[in-house]
Amino acid sequence: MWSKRILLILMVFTEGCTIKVSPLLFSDEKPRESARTSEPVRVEARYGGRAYVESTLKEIFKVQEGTPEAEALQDSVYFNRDFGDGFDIYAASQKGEGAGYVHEFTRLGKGTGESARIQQAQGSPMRFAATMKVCEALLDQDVRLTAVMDRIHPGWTVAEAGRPEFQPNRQAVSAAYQVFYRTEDPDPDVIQAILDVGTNETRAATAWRNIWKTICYSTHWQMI
Amino acid sequence: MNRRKFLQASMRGIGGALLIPSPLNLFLSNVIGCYSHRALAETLSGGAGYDDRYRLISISLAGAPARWGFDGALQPGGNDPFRYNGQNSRKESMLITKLTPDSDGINGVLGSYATHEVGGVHLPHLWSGKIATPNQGSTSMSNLASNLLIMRGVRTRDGHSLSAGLPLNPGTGDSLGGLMAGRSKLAIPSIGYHSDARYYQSSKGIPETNAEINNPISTLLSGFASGANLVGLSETGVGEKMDLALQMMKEKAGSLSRMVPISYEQRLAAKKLMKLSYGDLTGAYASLYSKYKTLISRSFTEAGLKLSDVDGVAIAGAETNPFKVESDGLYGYYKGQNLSTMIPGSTLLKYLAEGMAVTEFMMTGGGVKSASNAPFLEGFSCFSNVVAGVSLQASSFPGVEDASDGGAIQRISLDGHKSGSIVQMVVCAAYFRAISSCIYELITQLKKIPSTVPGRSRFDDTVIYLGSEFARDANDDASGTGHGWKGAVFSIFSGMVKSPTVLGNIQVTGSDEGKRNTWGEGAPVKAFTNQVAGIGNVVSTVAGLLDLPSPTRNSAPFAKKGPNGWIETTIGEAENVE
Repeated sequence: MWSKRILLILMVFTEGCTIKVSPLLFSDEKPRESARTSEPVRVEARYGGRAYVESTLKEIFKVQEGTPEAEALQDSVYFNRDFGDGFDIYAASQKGEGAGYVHEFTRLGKGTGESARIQQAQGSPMRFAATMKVCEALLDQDVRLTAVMDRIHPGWTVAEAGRPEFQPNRQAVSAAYQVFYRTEDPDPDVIQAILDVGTNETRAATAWRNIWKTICYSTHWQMI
Repeated sequence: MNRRKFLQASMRGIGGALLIPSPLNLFLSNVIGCYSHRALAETLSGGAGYDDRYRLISISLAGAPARWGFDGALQPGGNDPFRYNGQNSRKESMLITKLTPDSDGINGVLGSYATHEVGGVHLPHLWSGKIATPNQGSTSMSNLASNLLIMRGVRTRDGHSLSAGLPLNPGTGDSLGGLMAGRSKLAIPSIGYHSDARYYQSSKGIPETNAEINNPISTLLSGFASGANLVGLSETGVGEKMDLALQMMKEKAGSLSRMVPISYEQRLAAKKLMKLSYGDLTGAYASLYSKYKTLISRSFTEAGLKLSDVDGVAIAGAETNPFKVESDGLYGYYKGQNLSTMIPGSTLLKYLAEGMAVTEFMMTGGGVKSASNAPFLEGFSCFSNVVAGVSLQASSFPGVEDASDGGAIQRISLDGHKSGSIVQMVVCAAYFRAISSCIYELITQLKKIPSTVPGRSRFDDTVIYLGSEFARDANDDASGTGHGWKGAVFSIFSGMVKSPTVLGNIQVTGSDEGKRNTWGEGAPVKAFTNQVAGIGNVVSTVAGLLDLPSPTRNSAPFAKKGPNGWIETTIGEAENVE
């Protein structure tokens, strides 16, 4: 283990910015055998469509249907083509009367032609810019921060965020991480890095706000 | 030194060697500190980096205009074997590029296939004229030919919609645009403008952004605006720690194959773009659109740009095939006294003007502070727009009546199928003058941008790929055209091309009944194992110039890039095959 670390250090500092290192060097794994006999079938990774992202965020932040907040989320995600077309191709298009193809945006009378359309639900800078905006808009509201904190610390409030038991720690950040990544065991290094985001933040609620924003910013919770 | 301070220190390149919490953290801090950020900044600014050296601009002449008056060069050698029609009579031929006084002709003129020599290559007569440049200027159209490579005699497929996509997406794998986008780290890797989603495919999952919107530039970039106050945009303090955490997530997730690797770069690109100030994008687009709109309008109407023997002719029409026009199945004849007034001044190729405005902005930065860029921009409809945009005066067509209400029709279509030789020559001359003017202006702008390779301009590393569903074959009786899918034409404008070049063989005599002329039907090419050129040969050519793997690897290119970066032909001179 240590010999690997030393090797790595030397490589980094002698080659500097141009270094290209195999990811295998960072783990204790032995080099894998030839994959010829055991190569798994690869399924192309894919991001969920705008409906998927909208529903996921509504669930995580406990946004009630029919509220102004739900409407705002709908506008910023569901009617935002940066998140890709509808996951359901039958929802994305519909036959108009004798005129053929009518896009759902047109049919619903929203976003007609004034949002650049990503053809498929895939990652793009536009999508992740929109993600950052949505995450910050949600988490800048105390009511949404309280709602999502309730998932890991029932009874948490902004006013009582300074209580010792509500301080960010590895266990709590792991729980927060799993709110977005429900089927994934959090990696210790990842949790520590996210925890660092809240470290030295004297405002207790802000520490958590930024931790949640970091997780929300991350891109692959949007994958299906 | 705590963990955070260590990482900060190592990101600044100091002090890290003695305090190493884990190899991964060290790697991440160095990557963030000096590799990824630098590479990202370079690519976003169009700076150094192999990935973003090249640009591909595909323009689809949707509707498939006849090309023999423009880039479908039929006698590139000047005296190649040529046949007007089955009887070889000029009087009843579609294959005309100019009119000359002739008492044996119609109302004193007779059409002929005439050429103009540019750089040792005989291009159609239109190239002897002028094209519009900004600020009411003009230049010789032949100046555009310097960087022109023509691939003719290409067999493709019949049908408008499907065939339009083949030049970009010829197989089941990545399209040319998908390959370009997959190699790029630019913020908007690919743009489609009035194009079909089927023409684009990326195995890496890079999307093509569709820009069919009222103000494409500001809308494309609107997602990056209004984000300046976001916590996550900070490069220091909490923003810095967020980046580090996200980088850690990427590395860990990547090892589990649970993440699209490029997404982290995309998020960083988004962050970078959200921090920029874009200025007046609406004004920038309006300015570019106005520039191209004016160039197009002048191409159709300005007397000084018209050729006195093509579309500046003052002769009367006649009830003969060369003057035939169509409207919804009703046929008539152009009877105006002056061919030069046939096309109204209000004619505008809207999609062309819009598309060129977006293209220039995205390929050059448009003079606005914007890091946004695209290595690939897919075509926009053009010729069909002429059909829709031209409202010919009913008074010019007294022989045509609308069967539905018995009154004189108000609009006459100029469908290539049923437009006669002279009508089609006039329309196509103006149309291709407009296309040429727009491309020339775009090239002028691309030449101002330095390439990532010293000594080269961006135009030297750009391919402007001009194609359509097919070319047009020519009726022997000068009455119109059919789908010339047996002899399509594809042209490339690029700084890699240093002199006018025509490649590909064509038949002197067309194989179909009623098309026994030299319209451009493909003939076998020795270098292609004596087979007629196919779409794969064209795609391999374009891919090769852009250093892309060809999506049609079994097809040899017409030409390739030489060691000096300039094009070298690989198949010998173009021939007309008896």
